[in-house]
Amino acid sequence: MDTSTQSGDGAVSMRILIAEDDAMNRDMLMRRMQWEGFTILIAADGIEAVHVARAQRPDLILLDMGLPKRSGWEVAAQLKQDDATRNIPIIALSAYVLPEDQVRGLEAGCDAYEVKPIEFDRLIRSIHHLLAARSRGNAGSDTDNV
Amino acid sequence: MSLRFTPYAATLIALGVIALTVAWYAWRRRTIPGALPLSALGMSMSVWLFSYALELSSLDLPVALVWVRIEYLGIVSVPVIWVWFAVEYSGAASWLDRRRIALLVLVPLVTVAIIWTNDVHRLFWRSVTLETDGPFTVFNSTYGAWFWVHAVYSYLCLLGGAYLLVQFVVRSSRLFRGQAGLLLIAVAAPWLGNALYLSGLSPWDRLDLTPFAFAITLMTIGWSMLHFSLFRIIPVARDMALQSMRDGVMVLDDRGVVVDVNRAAQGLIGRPGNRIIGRPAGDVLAPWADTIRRYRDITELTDEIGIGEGPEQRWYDVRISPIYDERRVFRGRLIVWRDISEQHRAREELRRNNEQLLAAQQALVEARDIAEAGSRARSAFLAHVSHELRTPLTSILGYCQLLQIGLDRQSYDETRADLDAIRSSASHLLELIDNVLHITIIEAGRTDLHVVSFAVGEIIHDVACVVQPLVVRNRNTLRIECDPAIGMMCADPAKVRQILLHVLGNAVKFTNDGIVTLVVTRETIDNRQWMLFRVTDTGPGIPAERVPHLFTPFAIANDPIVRGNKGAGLGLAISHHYCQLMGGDITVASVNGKGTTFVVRLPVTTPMATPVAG
Repeated sequence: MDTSTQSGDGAVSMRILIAEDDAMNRDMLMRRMQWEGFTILIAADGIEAVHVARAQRPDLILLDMGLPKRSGWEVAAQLKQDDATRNIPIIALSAYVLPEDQVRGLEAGCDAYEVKPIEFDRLIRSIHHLLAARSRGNAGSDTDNV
Repeated sequence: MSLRFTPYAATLIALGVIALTVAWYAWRRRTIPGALPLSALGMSMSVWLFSYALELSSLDLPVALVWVRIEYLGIVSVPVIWVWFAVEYSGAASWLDRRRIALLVLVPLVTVAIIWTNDVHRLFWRSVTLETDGPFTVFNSTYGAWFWVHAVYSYLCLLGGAYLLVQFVVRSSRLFRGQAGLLLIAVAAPWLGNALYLSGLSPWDRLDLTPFAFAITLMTIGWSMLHFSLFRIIPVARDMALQSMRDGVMVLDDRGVVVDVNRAAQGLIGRPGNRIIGRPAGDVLAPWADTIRRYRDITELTDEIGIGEGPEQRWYDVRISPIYDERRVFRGRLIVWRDISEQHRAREELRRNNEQLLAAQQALVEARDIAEAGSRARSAFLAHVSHELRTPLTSILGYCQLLQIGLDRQSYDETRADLDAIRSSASHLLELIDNVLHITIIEAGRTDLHVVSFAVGEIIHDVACVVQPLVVRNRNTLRIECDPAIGMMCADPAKVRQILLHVLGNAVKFTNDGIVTLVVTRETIDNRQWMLFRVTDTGPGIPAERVPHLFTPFAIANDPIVRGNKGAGLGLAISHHYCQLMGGDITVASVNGKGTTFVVRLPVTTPMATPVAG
């Protein structure tokens, strides 16, 4: 069902959910990710982020930690507890840069933690790394299912 | 030897036996004050009584004269011993020193000598005759000069002893009424007997009643000793103990009148005993009226009271206990007070020290709390500032890149430089924020070292790459002199990297069209392996007056010369702290206008638990 798993040479665009409350940041990120060739889904608060993640099953989530209504840490924890969304890689994007903030983010279930302002080279490397790892993991689980 | 029997003699002999018994009885208790003189008194009395009995029974003069002479051994010694007894009994034994004893016995000794040599000089008796026609023999004599000396002396002795005893009785009468009565009888008897004899009212006018009277005295004392057992004598011992006590002791009767007071108490009250005894306690202790009022109706209590003010204040441990007689009737109160000023002072001192200590501790805790709260508040504030600034910065930087990407594709070369400037200044802002945050962490004492082994060459390469754009922009030449075999060091690589970035970054930032050199060497100083990073530039140099403040946080912020520049500022303070944290240091040498050299010196292996300075 998930067509994105076919990707690898870019035949099908990967879908990334950007959960970000700051409109400028959100817009900038969206445009930058579109430049990189991704399909973008948008959420402006924590509840919406969980909703979209469940409904749309994006290939990856860029999650702001300081989201209203439900914080990024809570969203990450919730998605990682849900079997339906557990396998979606989450990259925390946060202006909380202290080591303990990062530890908290990783403990909540984020697969990577990138601080703001965003170092895009790093972020894009991280995205590709996680997507590749996920596709390998999915391939494995597909084999198990057969 | 011609003797005859008379009933008078028999009576005297019986009395003599009693006197001997008393002597023996007292001798056995001779350790008790008054017992030894009592025993001596008994002996003398028995000599007197026995020889008087024999005198009364004698039928011829020479025989009678011998008994009379023996009799006088008793007669002369009784008054002296009486004084001895009175002195000891009333507790003034120390008054009897050797000189006084010699003086006391002088007259009796002379008297005895004169009596036994009377035939030669007739100083005692001018003439003697014997009357044997009565129911008993009467020894008649006309007295010589010395007799009167003897008589006066004996009466003085008797009077003195009686005075002492009466005084003692008066003093202790309220407490020891039974004994006092007996003592008064004992004292009064010789006087009464003598008075009867001298006044001629005696039914036996030819009979000397004095020995009888003394026998009564002796028996009274002896009987009271028997009756009251030791208790009869103990008041003396008690009195002595009381007097020598350091604690003040005062005895009040049931009406609150002072009946006894010891020397220590007299000292405190500041009056001799005779001006205290017999007066109401309230009068005697007038200076402490408040205290007296407080304790007036209390019969039993233990308390501490302070008397006086300031450094003169004395503290007393006061005990009041009720006194009951044998029939459980309330007789008065015993007040004992002990001077505990020293203990009290020591205790107060201890308490004060303790309070000061507690206060100091409290102050420290408060100061620490304030400092911690302040530090926390500052950290929180700066973390907040950092967070708030990052969100717009993210946008600025992100848009810059977007524009660049767009421009790259449409090749608008002219605007690219402007975009680069925007991005550069935004980056600088970010650097500043990062440094503020690092300083905050350092000042909160929360810097942790993550010591691992790493290749020095890699860090050098990394740092050189990071500063390269700045090198190019300021048209500098960067030279790295680092032996490829420089090897590994064991420290916190992130912090080493940061230190080098700050120092090297500053060098390339502040130098234009110059040469920046980084020399890395491994050296042994004081038997320790050091890694030295020497950064030399050909820049403007640092003014001498700024050098001392170079490693102080925010120093640059108030410096008008540097403020406009892309500031290092916090970078050197952070570097300085990190160097110290890893057991090393950072030093600077600068020649104004010629250039600056920073030397970062770090142990090849970071020692464990390096004390953090600053």
